[in-house]
Amino acid sequence: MRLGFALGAAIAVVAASPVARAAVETQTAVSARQVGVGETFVVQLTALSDGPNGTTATSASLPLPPGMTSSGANVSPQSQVSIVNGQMSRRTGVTVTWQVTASKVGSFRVGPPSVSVGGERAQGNVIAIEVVPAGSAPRGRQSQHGFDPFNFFGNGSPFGNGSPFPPGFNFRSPFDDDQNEQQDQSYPDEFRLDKAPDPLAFLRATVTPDHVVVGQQVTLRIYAYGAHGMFSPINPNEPSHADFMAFDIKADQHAAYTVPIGDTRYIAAKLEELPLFPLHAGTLRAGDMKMGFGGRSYPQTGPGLGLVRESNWVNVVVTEPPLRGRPAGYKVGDVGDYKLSATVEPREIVAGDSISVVATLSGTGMLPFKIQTPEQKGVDWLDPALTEKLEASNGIVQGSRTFSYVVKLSEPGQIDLGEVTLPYWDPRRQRYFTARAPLGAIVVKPNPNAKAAPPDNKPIDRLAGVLKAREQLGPFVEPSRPLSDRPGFFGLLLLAPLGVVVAGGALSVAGRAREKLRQRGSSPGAQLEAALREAKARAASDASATVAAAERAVFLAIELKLGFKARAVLKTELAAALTERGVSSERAAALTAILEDCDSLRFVGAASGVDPQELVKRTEAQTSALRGDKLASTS
Amino acid sequence: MRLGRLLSIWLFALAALCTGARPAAAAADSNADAAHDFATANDAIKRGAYTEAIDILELLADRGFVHPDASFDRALAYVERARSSSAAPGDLGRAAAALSEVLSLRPNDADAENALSRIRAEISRRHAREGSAPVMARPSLGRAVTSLFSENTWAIMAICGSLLLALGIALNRFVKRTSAELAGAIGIGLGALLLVLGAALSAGARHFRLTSSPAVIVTDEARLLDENGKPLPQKLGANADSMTIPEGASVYVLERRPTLDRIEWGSTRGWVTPGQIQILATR
Repeated sequence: MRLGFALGAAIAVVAASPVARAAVETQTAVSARQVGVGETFVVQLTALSDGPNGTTATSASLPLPPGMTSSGANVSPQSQVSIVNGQMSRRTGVTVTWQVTASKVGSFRVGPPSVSVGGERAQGNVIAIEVVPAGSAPRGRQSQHGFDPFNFFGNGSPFGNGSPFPPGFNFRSPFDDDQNEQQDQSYPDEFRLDKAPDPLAFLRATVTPDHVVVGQQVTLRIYAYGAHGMFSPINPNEPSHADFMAFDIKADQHAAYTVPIGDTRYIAAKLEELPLFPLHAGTLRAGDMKMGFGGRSYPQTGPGLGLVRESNWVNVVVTEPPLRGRPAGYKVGDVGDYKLSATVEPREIVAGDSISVVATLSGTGMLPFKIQTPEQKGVDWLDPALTEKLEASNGIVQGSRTFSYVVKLSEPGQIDLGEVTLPYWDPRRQRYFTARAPLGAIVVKPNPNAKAAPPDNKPIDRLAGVLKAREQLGPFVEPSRPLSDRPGFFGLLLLAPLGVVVAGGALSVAGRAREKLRQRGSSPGAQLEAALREAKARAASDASATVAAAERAVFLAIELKLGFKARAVLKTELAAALTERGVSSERAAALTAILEDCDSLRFVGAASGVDPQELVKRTEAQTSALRGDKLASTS
Repeated sequence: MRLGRLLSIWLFALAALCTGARPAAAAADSNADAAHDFATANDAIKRGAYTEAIDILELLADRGFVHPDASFDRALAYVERARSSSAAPGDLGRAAAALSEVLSLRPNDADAENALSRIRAEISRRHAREGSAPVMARPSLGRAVTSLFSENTWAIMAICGSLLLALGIALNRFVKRTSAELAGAIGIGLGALLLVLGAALSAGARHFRLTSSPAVIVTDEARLLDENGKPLPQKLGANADSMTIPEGASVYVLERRPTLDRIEWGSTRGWVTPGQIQILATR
């Protein structure tokens, strides 16, 4: 396909030279880029202008390099009517034709051809021609069906049907409607599109299938669609397929069709049909072909570039064939449907001689470059010589590859060679298979003339005996999961020291709290409260304990307030002593009275008339009042 | 009550049978297949059919069967093929990879260690014979230090440090004797050192394990490339071979892409094509 396209392009596309001047448009064409010595090729310059005097041509010239000769220029007037979007336009001009004969091998530059039309000089493009020895130049192919946007030389005429331009450069004409209607009905389904991505021109890439295994064929197709009539490809590049191995199909040129998309009729042609073989797994990309659409109705992206468009990328999801059922020796990428056959000769030799083994691998798919040869001691297989015959029939790559081995047998005896094999994955049947070809037995007679090689000549084998086979699978304890993979391992490392620190802190806090409590229990205030609590608790049952507690409460209250130990003072002098220290005389008297009542109750008992509960209440009230009293200033 | 207990035991046994018995049976079948394949490969080695043995053992590895003895015999098959007339490029590198695998699975395998050093010496000798200067790549400091001991050793050191630190703190804090306080202070210092060192190196080893895979170069040599597949420029003043990794060299794979793998060789990082390395099977 690529070659076909290249050939078509070489034949057809010389240059869609844009404009010599604003009013004159030129097209340069050549019948072949590669010609043999002595062969004639045709150079044609067509100049069309919008003015009415375009058919008057003078001074046609075609500069030629040494080694080429041309006939005189043949000038014929041309006129063209075209209707685009309901607007009719008429263009007139001339077509100048030269027949050039090459007489020398080499690469030459012909032209540029030029002609004066209507008083204006129109100049075409320089043409590169390669002249090869006679008989070795390729021949152009005829289009098989439809019409070919790249074939200028159909129907036996250099430019076909008297058209002012090669068919590839023809604009659509209202007079072509009948023909187009017929082709509308017959375009292949692969050209069908529901929506055009570009109203003017676009390239479209497709790939089938898009889910494959490594080594399985996919086909990349690139289509060109032009909405403004026929076009010629300018500087088309090869689509990207870095992750694939491409098979070069030498196919015929593909035809172009009129394809309606929405309300627009496009001229569509298939530019590429590339069988590709993915080289590895993954989501692989291909496509991104760039090309200029050349033609009068196509605007120019840049000088000489035509209307440049790029195709989309296509993705192919590639996986490896399954591991389940995979035979030993299978190489990822060996995919297809294969058969192996082999011939061996001679069947009887002398030890040290060689035999020839020719194995032929045939089938569909990208035939592997290596098959498995049987190994045994005393049998040496040299590297094979390969010959192949591959083709793409209906787009499917198939053919055969022959492996020619020289096999040296050094040990006498009847040697069973075994078989050559190729394990492969068949994507159609979704299974592994192994292609096999048995080789049979060889009778190797002892060689009476054989001489043992002197041991000194053997190179030192430093790896001999470096490893001894292990006959059985020994015990193997799989390493346990690393400790650091256990959840919270690094946190747990801190747990022990932090735990000790936290425990120490807690103990310390507890000790401090205990100490505080202890200190609080020995203070006069705490003792006062304890004494009052005891007095209240005992008031109903134990008069002497109540008295003792109440008396202790009074003394503690005095000590707490005045820092004065009142027990050392006679009770008769206590009131005076308290008054001296700033206590009001009433409070001093009340406190003294409590102490006296305590004495009465202690020594006289209930007959004293003192109620222990009332005594406790009084004690509580007076001690509390004393603690809140303001002391008078003392001298 | 008793009936209920019996019923629950029966249900538990049934559930265990459904969930656990099938994988266990499958694993037993798989091991039996692996043992059979291993024996077949051994027979092939004895016959001199080294490629056949390699194919069987490689397929075994592809299926996920990991065993140091299978890797050992794979190394043997590669070495024997390298010695035979059907030697293929990279055979010694693949043998080195298989032996490295043995050592990663069974670190105290003396035969594998000895064979690996002899194979690497032979690779170096062959390269020297072809005029290539032997290139030594020192591992990065972090990798060198963390690989001094196994990851679990560092983890155990950290655990010991943690316990010693805890003991030191406890002695220092709770025992009010001079000798205990002294012992506690020593325990705190030593424990903290062991804890920090062990935890850091354990974390480092874990990081290297999780972010890179050990591999071996299995082609004659692997040129280091940049991310776009172009050869890395030679470092200023460096040996011309400093960007070329010899066969059998140990590397670490840091990142994998369909067409390139990012590796660390010594302290140098770059990309190589996936076919140039073999990633070691680990458990």
